[in-house]
Amino acid sequence: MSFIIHGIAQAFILLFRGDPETFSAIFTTLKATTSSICLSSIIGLPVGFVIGFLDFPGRKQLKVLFDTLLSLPTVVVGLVVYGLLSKNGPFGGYGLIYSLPAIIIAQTILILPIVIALTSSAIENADERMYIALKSYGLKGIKFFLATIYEIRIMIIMAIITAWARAFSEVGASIIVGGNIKWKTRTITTAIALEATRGNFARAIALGVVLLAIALLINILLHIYKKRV
Amino acid sequence: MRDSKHYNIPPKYHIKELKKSYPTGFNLYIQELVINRGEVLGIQGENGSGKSTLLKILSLLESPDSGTILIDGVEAGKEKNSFLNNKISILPQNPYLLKRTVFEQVAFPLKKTHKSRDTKSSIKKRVYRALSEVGLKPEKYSKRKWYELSGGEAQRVALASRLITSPSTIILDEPTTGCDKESIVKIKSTITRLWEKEKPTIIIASHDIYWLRSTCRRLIRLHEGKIITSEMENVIPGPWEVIKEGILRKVLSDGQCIYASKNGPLENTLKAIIKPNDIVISTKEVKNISAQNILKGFITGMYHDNYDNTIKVEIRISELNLISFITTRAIDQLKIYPGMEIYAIFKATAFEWV
Repeated sequence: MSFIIHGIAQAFILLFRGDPETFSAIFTTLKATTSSICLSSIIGLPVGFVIGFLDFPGRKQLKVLFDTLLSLPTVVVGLVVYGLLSKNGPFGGYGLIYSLPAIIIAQTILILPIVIALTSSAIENADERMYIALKSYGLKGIKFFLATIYEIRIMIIMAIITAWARAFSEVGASIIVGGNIKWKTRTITTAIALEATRGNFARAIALGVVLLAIALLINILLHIYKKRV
Repeated sequence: MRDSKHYNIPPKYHIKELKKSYPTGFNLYIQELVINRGEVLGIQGENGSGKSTLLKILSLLESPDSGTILIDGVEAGKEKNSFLNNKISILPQNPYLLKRTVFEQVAFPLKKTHKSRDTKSSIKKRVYRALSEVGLKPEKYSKRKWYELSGGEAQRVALASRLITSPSTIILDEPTTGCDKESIVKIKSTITRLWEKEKPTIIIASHDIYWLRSTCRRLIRLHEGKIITSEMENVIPGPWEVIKEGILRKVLSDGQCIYASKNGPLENTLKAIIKPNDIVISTKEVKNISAQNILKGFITGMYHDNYDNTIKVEIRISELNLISFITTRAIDQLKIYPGMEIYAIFKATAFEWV
């Protein structure tokens, strides 16, 4: 038991002293998740909108596909991206393997189905009158899309937070494609995995506390925002 | 010499042979409908009579299966909406309020569809004016959120956001549903004032015939997807019995009879239509006049027509409700009032048949 308490105490020491190794992992995590969230939103919101709003042949099958991809195992994504980016893979020439961009690509693939599936169901279940209203204001194309997203912003934010939580907490993909390189591709979760196997529980717990604290902070901010709108 | 056609202003809407079917089996069919520029037209009908469908087609939100719609003489549907943006504005039934403040909601059409030539202060001016027009104090309401409004206030905010672009055609679908009394009155006065000021074409659908009659100039009635009466007409349903060659009779439940003349084939399910201008009101029972029908009834309501300064008088004769148009001068001379017993006089030849 005592090692847990020791770990928590250690966590605060690491944080308040500004331990560079810990902060490097935190920043790597934040950089990777922020980038993958931006990328998956830029791709996922329009795709989710199209699947949710338009009726075209194959739409149902597409929905089933993205719903299935929600439970994509992280290590499988890691494996696939590894295969694509490794030296002998089709994109090996770009030298992306074991780099931050590799982690971002893997996380984007991992969370894209979440953004798409949740956006399309939010679009589908939105108030029919909203679409009539927006059309009656003469909105078309991109303006119509943006106004719709703004109207259902709470649902969209929930989708993005859900996706972010998955990217934030995954370890399998990051460790395979990032290689857990100190100062470079070591994220909070990959660091915890490493420290735990090394028997360095204090540091592992400290990083776990940091992970939870960031998640808590983001959810508090979301809660405040939801109250304001 | 100029071509005289240049002087012919086409009507706002000219609809011909319009058809729209739904998988549910509902069919809308309008053989012909002309809506003039600057007209205030009421569309009356029960729920499911096709009012909303017709309005959606008129506002180009939906396109018909077949038929033509000429708007200002130009066929609609070819270049969808492009030239009509902001000229036609529809307030759908039970309108949706954007999840924004009242100010942003009302300003939305300006910001989204106009070029950003409007400055901040001019937008504010127009929003405040639109809110005042619907009877909402701008200072009090502009910062409110969409969920901080009552049903009637929400309706009026939605109306304000349709008026802000000064559309030349305004289409309102059941604008008073779910509204409190104050809002119903305010919506009517907004419509009347707007018409006096800018003379737009206004089309209103409602199942509330009394409110419509007091707000609109002309009324059409929809029934199961078809227009059954145009104009503000009185419908006298059958059965009619033939008493003589060319003469029909309908016996009312209180024993009074209506006589009508009709040539051609006779069916006892026919409906007779009589125009309000063809019904004369008398306070005394008149004798020795040429009109066949002198029926005793009483006045149930009187409405002032805001548009041409006449009075619509509602008369109940046994089970029939009829309306008659008379001038304010005649009211003054006759000294009639709701509840008063009167005689309605009309000719047997005044009927049209459907």
